[in-house]
Amino acid sequence: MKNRNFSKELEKRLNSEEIALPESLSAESIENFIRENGEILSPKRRKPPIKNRIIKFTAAAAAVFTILIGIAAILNTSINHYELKKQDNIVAQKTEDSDYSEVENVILSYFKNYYNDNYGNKNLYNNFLNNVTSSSKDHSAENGVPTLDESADTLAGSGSYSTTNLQVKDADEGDIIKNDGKYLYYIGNNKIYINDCRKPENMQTVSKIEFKTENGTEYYPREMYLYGGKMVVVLDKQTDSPDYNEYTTVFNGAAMSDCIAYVIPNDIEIRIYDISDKSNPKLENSFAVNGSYLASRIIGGKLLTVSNYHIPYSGCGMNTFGKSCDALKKVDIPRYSVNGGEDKKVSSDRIKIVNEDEPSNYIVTSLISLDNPESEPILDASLCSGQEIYCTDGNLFIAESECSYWYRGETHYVTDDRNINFSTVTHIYKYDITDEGVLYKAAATVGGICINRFSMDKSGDTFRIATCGAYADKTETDGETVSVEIQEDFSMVYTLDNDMKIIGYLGEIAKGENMQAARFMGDTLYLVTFYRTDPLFVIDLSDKTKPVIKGELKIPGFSSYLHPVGNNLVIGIGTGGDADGADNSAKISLFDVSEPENPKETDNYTVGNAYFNSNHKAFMTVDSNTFGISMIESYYNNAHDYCEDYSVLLMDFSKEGLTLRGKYKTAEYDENDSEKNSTVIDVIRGAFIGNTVFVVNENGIAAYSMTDNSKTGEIKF
Amino acid sequence: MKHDIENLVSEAQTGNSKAFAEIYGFYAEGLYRFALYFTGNSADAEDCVQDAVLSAFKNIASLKKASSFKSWIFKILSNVCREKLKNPADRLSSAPIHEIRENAVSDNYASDAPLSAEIKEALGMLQPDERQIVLLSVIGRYKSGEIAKLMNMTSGSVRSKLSRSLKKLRDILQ
Repeated sequence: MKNRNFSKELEKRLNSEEIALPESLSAESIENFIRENGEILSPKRRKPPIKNRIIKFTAAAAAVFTILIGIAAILNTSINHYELKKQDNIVAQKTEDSDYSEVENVILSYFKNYYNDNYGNKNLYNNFLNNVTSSSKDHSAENGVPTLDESADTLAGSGSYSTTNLQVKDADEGDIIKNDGKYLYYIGNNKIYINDCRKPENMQTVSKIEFKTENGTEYYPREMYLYGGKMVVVLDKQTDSPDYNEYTTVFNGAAMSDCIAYVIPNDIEIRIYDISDKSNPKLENSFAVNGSYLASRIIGGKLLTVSNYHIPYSGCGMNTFGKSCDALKKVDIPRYSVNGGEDKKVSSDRIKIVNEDEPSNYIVTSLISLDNPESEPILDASLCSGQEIYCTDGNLFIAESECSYWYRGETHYVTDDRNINFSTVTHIYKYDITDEGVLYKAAATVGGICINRFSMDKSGDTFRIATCGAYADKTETDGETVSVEIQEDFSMVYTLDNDMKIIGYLGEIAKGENMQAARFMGDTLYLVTFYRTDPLFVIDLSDKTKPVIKGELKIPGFSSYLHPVGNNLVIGIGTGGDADGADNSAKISLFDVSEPENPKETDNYTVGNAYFNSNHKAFMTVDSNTFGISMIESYYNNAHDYCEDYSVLLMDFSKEGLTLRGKYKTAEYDENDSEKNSTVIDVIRGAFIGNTVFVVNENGIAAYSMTDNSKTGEIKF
Repeated sequence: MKHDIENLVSEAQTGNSKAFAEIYGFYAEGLYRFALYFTGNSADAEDCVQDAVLSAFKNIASLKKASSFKSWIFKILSNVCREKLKNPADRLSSAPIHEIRENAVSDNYASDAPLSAEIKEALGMLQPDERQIVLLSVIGRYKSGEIAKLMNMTSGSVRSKLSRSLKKLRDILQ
């Protein structure tokens, strides 16, 4: 204890000593220094001009370009204010149509400007070296399509067992841990472990699937599903760029005009295994789709995947515009492949041009029938991009943010559909999920950013979204720097109709604070904002045109995840604190919202120097009065060594309060194995079957009895 | 003010020194502060930061994740500082505590560093590797596992050295 407190004190002292940065170490001096002395090794290819604009702006002006929370990802997408195709219908699909001229013209005209900006008047040789990447695409094939075992195990389980905490009831979500009541499936150490947990004292890993690098392509399992005797795995598929030196040789040996340079996009891959024999999972089908993984769901027997395919303009620069266009043609349409076969382009009549002025990205969706995986997947693409998705069983909503900025003497403001200037806005694209595919329907723009998928909700015909943002005003300059003036952050709620028209708005909630969590339950929205203390807002949405704040509760700390548990109670998982702000403690709050005008925190459970896994999937419902959550707690032991405890807590609750039922630790770490003795919160998960609770992480599984909290078994991976 | 590290890193990776300097600017004070505590004098601290920054710029293309920039550049800096102290002229006394307390702390450490006398004395008391561990842990907020990888030690050794060093410092500073 002494050392820990002292450590904090020392940190304060060391950080508070007055130290003046010498002139030789100022950013400007360093810039000159490295320019004179440094040459970068193996420089990478340039990115599209949009980023250049932002960089020039910020670098040239050392500007105060204020960007809101969570925006780092946003600047990977277009930032010009563009006209969206707000509403449109897609006619019935044909699959044989191969006329891509419309979308290709849009892309080409964008590429013209891009080419001139980056390659127009410069030394093409140097540019080429900076832009060279791989020249071949290689899908390694997985062979063998065994027949489906007719007696495939259905998801049986005597008694209850844990299931994935879903946002929407009929839209199943992938997870790193799955449970069928007998076996626990877990993604860890880049492998999938299938474990027989029927007898906790005798648990066994019955099979293990490893995902190794194949031909320079790396595979990382992200999430999996259990569906009708099958295991569906979603993987990141990444192909490394080849060695820079390799390319100078190739370049020197070949005529420049013959060199093709384009980037291998990252893909997602879906693998479907037959797990009727748990000790011998058999790969049956695989699909690869262009794009980096955004999300997936299983709805009505179909796997829906959503990915962002970024058009690799920067990889297409060559000595002539004509040659560059040839290179671009190879990558301007998203592709997919089935069972490692040849690449197929998404059919042209299934491509929707949403963002015509800045066509830098496609949202690519695939629908794969799991009941009939031999059938061709349905691929759709729309020229726009996304960061968060919300999926009901009939609709897909994708949210993308865009910022106001200043460039070359002009301010470009973004506005919501009411024409109010904001510092950032969110575009929401609505799709219908049908048997014919994922069809783009309409779009809307609202102010602020969408912090996560729980900020979105659909009830009946009304779409609701809670965002956090600020108004943007005029630019200001002090002669040296220019900035887009923004005001204080606040939270807001928009309601929209079926055609994505704004019908209601409530704004300027909690000015000066940041949104931490949101949760819609029927006609009520619970909102958590935080600056120093945590107002929990209860917002009534029963009049869809007039969202209204019913009640507010200010408490220390804040919740990152809200989970309504019935009986007018809401559990908040988050961080503790005092009147001055948040601290290092983990806190569970029990809110009583039976009186919306007067929400109360009936009880809380706090652990010092700890934090919870606030990902919604880590929240495990055991029964109507018990839930589990993973936790990492740090402390100093008797020998003053820094230690961490990894565990799952089971909490009982009632209207009266919270009680700890038990704290269950992960499988024991070998003290002498310094390589492998720490972990991260995201991979620590709880599960239960009947009366046994399991704590799983990449180290293994520990089993405990829920009756007397005794440890009943353990296996190590 | 929030800044777009990811884009700046991408730009820097194409050789853009201005973008690199921009990112550097966010961490400049922290880097100098770290080097100053480590080496104990401003001339060495300046050299170390410049060397580390140059090395970082040359190798920035190898940085896979923009979000790791800070820990990556601190890692380079701490190793540069260590190398600097290997020079015999800079080596600090390794006499046991009570002797050091009675004798003068190494001149190099105490020289012109604009730090309070107490801090100078306390940090000067530690071996270079102990100082590196303490600074990485307390200022860099690295976990023992991360420090272990950085310094090619086991995390068990890191933890015990850290604990001993904190105790040494506590004896002086409290």
